[in-house]
Amino acid sequence: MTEFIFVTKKDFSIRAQEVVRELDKKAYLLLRVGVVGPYFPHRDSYPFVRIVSEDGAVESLMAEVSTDQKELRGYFPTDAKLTGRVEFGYASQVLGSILIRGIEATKLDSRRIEADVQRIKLRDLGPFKRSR
Amino acid sequence: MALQLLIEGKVVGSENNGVLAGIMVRAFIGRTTRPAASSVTNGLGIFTLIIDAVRNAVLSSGATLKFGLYLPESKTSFHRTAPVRLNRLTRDGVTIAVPDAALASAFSKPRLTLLADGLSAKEIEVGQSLSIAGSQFRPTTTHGVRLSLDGKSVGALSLTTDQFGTFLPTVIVPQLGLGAFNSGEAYTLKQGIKTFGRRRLVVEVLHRDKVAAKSKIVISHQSSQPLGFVSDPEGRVQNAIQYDRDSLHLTFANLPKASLARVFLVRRQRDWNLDDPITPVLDRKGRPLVIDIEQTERQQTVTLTKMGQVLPGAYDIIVRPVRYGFEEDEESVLLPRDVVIGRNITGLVVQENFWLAKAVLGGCVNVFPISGASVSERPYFQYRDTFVVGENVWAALDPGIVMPGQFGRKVAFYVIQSKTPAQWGASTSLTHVPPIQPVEVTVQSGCINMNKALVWPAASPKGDYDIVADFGNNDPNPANFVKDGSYDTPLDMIDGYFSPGFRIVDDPGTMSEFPHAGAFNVDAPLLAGLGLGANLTVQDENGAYFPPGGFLATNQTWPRLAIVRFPADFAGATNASQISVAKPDYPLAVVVHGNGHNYTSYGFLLDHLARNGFVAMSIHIPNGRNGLGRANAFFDHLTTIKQIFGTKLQNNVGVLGHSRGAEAVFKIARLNNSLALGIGLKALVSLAPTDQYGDETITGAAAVPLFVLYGAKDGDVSGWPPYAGYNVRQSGFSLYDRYDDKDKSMAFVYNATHNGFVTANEASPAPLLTVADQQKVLLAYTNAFFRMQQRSEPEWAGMFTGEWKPPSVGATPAEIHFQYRDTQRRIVDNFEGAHTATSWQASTIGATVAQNGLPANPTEAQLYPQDNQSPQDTGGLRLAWDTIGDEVNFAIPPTQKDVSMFGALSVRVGQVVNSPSNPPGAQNFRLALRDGSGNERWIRVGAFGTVPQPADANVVGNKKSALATIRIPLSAYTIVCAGAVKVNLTDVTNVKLLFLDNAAGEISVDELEFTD
Repeated sequence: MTEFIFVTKKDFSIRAQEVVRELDKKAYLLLRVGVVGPYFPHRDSYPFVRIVSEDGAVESLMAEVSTDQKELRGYFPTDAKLTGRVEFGYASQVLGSILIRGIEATKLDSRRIEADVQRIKLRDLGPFKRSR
Repeated sequence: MALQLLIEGKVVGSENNGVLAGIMVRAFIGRTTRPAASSVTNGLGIFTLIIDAVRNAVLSSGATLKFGLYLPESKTSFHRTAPVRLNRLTRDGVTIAVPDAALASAFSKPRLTLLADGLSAKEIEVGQSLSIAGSQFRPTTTHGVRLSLDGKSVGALSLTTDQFGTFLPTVIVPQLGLGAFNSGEAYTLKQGIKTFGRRRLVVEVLHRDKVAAKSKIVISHQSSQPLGFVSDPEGRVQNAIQYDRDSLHLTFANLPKASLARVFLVRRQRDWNLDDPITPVLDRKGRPLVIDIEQTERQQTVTLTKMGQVLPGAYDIIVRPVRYGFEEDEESVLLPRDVVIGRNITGLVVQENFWLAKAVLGGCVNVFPISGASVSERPYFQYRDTFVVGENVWAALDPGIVMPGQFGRKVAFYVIQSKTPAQWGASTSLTHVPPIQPVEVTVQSGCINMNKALVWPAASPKGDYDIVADFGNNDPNPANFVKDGSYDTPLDMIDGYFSPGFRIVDDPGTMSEFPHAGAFNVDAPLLAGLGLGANLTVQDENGAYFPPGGFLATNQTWPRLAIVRFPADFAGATNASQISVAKPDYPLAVVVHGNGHNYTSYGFLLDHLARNGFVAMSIHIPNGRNGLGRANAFFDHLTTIKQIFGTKLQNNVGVLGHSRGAEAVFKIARLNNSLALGIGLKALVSLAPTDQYGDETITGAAAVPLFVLYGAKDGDVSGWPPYAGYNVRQSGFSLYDRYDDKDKSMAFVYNATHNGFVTANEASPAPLLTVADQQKVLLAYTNAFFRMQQRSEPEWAGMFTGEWKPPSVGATPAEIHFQYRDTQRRIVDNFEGAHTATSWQASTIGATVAQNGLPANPTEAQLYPQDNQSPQDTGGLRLAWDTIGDEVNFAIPPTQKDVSMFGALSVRVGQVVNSPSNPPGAQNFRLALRDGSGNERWIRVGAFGTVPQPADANVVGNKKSALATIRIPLSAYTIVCAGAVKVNLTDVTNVKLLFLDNAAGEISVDELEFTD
């Protein structure tokens, strides 16, 4: 199914926070970068979020549209730098590119995180390395 | 050619005449032991046998026939009839009445299963709900159920099997062990385990005081399953609290490991499945009722809210063990670890002070929903008002609507032919219709499941019925209960009175009056035979435009093609001369499709209409044609079809148009009148119409009854933004609003699309109704509307006011809201005329309007663009309130004070989209009438309709402030009973909108009127 959205750049904003994400019954600590917009359709084409800076591009480890379809979420290693721009879209179609300015990730209190949660880092992608 | 003997018959029990379904019937000729034919009885107990007459030598005058009855998979008959001479059989069919002894032997080994929280079990924990399920019991028979604890009787109730001899899973002990069996005493979990742990509960199902089946279950002395329930501060179960008296406490135990427990209070819903959205309700101050609780113990009791915070209503409670940082635990959908309180029982009922909360304030008619259907899944009951012939009708009393003093007392459910208020006034006696006796239950406070019963298996015949809950002698000891067969206010309760409690109908979405639909195509060869050309040439517009007539006329020529269906008496009819001989002539229904559609896509609809007595055709229009071209093509094809069917065709025409074709039906009505074409136009169905060809406004002699059908997620005619010079959001709403002088109705179908009613859903945000479900809506409402208007069948009228849904539609998830306007009316205020800052203060009826307490004066204006989200093309009143007790008061002039000749007080109301004042879900308020003596009654509009939450649209920004019509029967204001003020309908002085149900809100109002 193909759907199109017609928006302007000012319709979008970004936010970032650490989250624990369960995958295949294991828990991982990831950095979630969300592009908040008016509406993101569920398309057959896969969505993407990437951080583009002078150092290059960091692709999200996975991406998905939120339940309410108002946020496109990319999941990154927790030490990914929030500098440059966030690009997002579906397949090869870039829907937008937003300058990262004054945005800091909301961190979880590491003392309260359960012991069996695996923190994902750029140099230790854990099981996500398989999808690189 | 084979000569066949067709025998139809019915199998019933000889004692109560109850039907027996799922029985194998075999026919034997003469003394043969090999069956000549066999059949299984359907849900109505009916079988059909087809016997090869030659092979079985049934043509001799002495041939005899006998029947054997078998249970499924049994080779031994449980009953054989005496031989019957074939020449003694009549056209009325055969009725096999099975003697009682034969039934007793056939159903001697029933299967009984006990379930703990819905799962088959031999052990149950305290707090779980105990259900029974059974099969192979005596069908259509009331059984007793006896509960014994360690050999001592602790309870009894009665249940009725369906026509197949089945008990669907039914809760017989909710929250086992949290209350005493023989008193109202409630226990904590610990007390329950101490009192009942390790004890054995025996369940016996009795027929005529003899045990038919028996099973046992052990009550565990441990508690290990996640559990939660509403309780008192000490942890004793308490499923209902009083709004202005009780705080809300929750006891939970055995929750999975987590850092805290998050409690969501949500609206009660029929079932909970993973990923269901969780939408917390708001408290009295508009705050979401989500409460985080620190888990300190394996079992704990906490205070959730103080008294007066949770508004009256029925709720479920979801308890979520929240792990720190886990993203999933922040999702607003149901998760696997969540504990739902309210699956097997009502989670929480917050009651108003009973006497203040009655639907008819101060009245004693006690009209409540009672009829419904048992559901095999949680929560096991669903209210319904319409049943098709042969369905099972259940009755249930929700504890939330029972006067507190009646708990523990017995009640008998009577099912009677529906009576009008006048007939009730003449006689309160109850004549029970079903073949079984009125079923009795002991009313329990904890759960609706204890208060439900199958009251009419395989209900038949068609008709309107009421259910009365008769408290009889109202003895506090249920063992001494005696029903009195009389509807006595204020104690007895009724599902009916103002309008029938429920109906048994043929389903207009599935019914079939004629066995076959003949079919042929209008094409060049057929036309040549009629001496007609293969093409048609008609006048069309050159594009979309706003001012009437503001187009350039163009002539367009295209092939004269159509598909036709007609009622037929045999399969394979392909010629108009083969039309059924059952009637001398037939009405016509024509489909005019839209742009990009194909006329052959409507075959399923034509088939259905043909089987319901219509000649039905769908005509071809090429892509790119506009509204006028479609109307003119309709006129052209009318000439053709008349020529084909001749005198078999009535001058009685209904038209269904889709999209551009749906706008064309308005042009058809206008041109038929202005050009004096003489077409007997009786009904217009406008499916997802455009509104782009000249601001069509049909009134006066051009008008015929109208039904508009429109999907909320229409992605083609989305109604936003205005184009082609229009000043309104163009859709079915605007066309509906401008239509006048005939009865009109509009159905707004949530999650339906532009093309989904016919072919496929266009791209639109999920969730969407499936095409199959949208087609069910189209089939049912089109057939019913055409039958009502073209065949003078008024029984379908309630479908178009939104009073009831046919089962084929009710079984879908379709949420439909109706606008309806009757021709017979006295307008109090329609908010038309010159709009100024003060024009709201003068009403259409010629009197003053005042407000009291509103934060600002109401605004009288064209609803669009005053409200950018309004799809309406009408003047209206927009208002907001912010305090309980705010009101808007419409005076009635003395010359108009007698409204007793009308049937209802009607108003169109819609929530204003994006207003922060409206809580999630439906809005509510009251309509009051006051008479010259100061008598005043308030009726909650939610008792008779809905001010629905606005539907999601094809895009977020296109959500519509759509109006829906609410009709309150005027008899609701006049019922006489103890202590109630009665409004004198010949002396009405005021109509009021009173805002007593939600602390704030913002709505648009239109068409406040007395009507039929």
